[in-house]
Amino acid sequence: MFEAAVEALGLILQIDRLGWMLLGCSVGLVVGLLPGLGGTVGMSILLPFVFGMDAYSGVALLIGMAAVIHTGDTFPSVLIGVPGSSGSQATIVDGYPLARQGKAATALSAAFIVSMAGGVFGAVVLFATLSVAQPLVLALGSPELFMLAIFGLSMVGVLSLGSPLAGLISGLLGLAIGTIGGAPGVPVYRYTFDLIYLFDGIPLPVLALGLFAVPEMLDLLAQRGQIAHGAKLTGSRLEGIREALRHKWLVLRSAALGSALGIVPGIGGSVIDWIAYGVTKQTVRDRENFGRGDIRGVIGPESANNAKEGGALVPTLIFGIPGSGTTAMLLGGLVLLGIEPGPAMVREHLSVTLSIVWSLALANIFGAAACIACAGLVARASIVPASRLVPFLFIIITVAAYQSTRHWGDIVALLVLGVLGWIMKQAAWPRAPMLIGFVLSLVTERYLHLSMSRYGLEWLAFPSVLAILAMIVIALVLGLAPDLRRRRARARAASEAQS
Amino acid sequence: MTVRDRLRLGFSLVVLCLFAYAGLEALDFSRRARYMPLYVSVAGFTLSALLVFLECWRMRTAAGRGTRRGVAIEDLAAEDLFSPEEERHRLKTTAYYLLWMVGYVAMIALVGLPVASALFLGAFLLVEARMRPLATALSVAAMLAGLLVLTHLMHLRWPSSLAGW
Repeated sequence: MFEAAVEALGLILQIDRLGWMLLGCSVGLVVGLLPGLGGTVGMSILLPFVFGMDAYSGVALLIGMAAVIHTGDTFPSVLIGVPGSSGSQATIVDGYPLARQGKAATALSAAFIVSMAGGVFGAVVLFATLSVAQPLVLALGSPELFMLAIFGLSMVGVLSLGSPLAGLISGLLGLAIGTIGGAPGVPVYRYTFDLIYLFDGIPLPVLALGLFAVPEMLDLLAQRGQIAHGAKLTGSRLEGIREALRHKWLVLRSAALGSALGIVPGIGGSVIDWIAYGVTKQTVRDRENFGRGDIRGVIGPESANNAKEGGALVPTLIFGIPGSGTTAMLLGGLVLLGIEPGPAMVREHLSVTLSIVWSLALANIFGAAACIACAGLVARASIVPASRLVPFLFIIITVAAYQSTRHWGDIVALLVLGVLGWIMKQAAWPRAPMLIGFVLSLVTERYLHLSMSRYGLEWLAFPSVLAILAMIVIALVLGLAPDLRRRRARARAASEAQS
Repeated sequence: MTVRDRLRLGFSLVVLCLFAYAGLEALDFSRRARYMPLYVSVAGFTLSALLVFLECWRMRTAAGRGTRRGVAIEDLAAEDLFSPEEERHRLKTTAYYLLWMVGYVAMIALVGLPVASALFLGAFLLVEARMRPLATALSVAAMLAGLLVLTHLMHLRWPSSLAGW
């Protein structure tokens, strides 16, 4: 295996293949940079070009693009508080407050370094598990997938920032919005009001842009300010790199979590992102600053979202099961290149498989280096006056939102959800739980439905289900106990002051 | 009661009504399509009712105790706390900028994306950012060029308009 790996490295390091990989990286970074566009858009741009390419060059081009989407998407998440893609939602919770404090360069460079580390870790996991992952993937059925979705939902409580009840209701509102459109498994359309646009539900990019981008823009304009509160940038790239190194164990932990969850098909990048954020918050000390600009809130999810790409390639390559839209299109690309992913992939196309591993690792390094080089310059956008920046951003997000379904409903929904998000922000209702509820709505309903129809209530006693349930309980106790302790101490101090 | 208190209470009431509507509507769905929206609505309605009750109760009792809106003041960032006059002014300013955005969308529907974007950006930069005409013209040209290049490279689509542009 190791000789084959060295041989594959030699093949991928040929100058023309490196060129294709760099082209893929550039497309991936641009697509990630534009809010609302994700890996599927990048794949659809590149797919026509792989016709007639040799397998190694085609793989370098496609993997180069897919690997760095979650590196480039950090720019909008940190600078304007808008998820660059569905897999970078959690980054905004702490990344944007850091930009508001003038520390955009610190947040960005820390994110890029840990993205690179996570991506390389994902590639190592892909290499290590190619031959042993088969039984693990086969062991996970709908009950386990349902419980993993519940694990994601449990993060709602963690992200409620001092308003647990409002956070819980916000999560339920997200779940309710997620039920709009066709019901899974039955030909019933729910809450559509006979509007064709709503038959497929509200698209995730439109919801994310509406909930987070429009309210921030309105507030920036109303305050007549800029993203960074003072007109001074205090953070630096070096500081970000130092922060990443200081939290190396967190980087490693999050990367391991991201790649392990990435192996499970059907969970999705956004769920993994939120789980990584929640686990980060629950497993570190001094977490009072989370949600208000804690660099660890950027490091955890950013490390996990790049690492999950390596994990996600395991079921894609060894079973031909795509875990996301991007990997589904990658499968198409591999078929175009004359490679049929499946159980025989490792045996019959070992060098191509290993070139995928190398492309993943190298693309992450190139992507992070390019982003770090630009971080200082792009961070200056945070001190541009809002009245000059916002009109450009609004045009970009309008165009980006329209690409979701290419229906006028996208733009109308963007405005309506923008107003909803603004009201929630003013009323101090947490918005992140709504996004989590929405993202997990379909997955939760689908796997609950499958579990109930196949096992009745028996699945509730499965050891694997109980193990995940125990993890959820532990995570909730670890996450909520300090908050409760702090509230109790505050109440005690208030009553003492009164007496 | 401040503007924000009213906003928070009003929003909680709207959410309560939404869950009530969603629950009633869910009763008409077939059995398999019903359980998720129904359970979510019932849970949402119950918790929203509890929140409305707590909001009203805390607003009555919290005055003078250093708490506001049912949330302890220290839970909120300093930037979120404004005097009633400031809050009213912020609401008006936000509504004004929201009108700019709605106007842009209406223009897209009338004259198409490129023309509407050029008009919106040009007018906004001149009126709101007080940029000089030359800088504004250059910004508009750069935006249009970027839009065209991205549209071409990424096969983006533009919304349809009455003018057909």
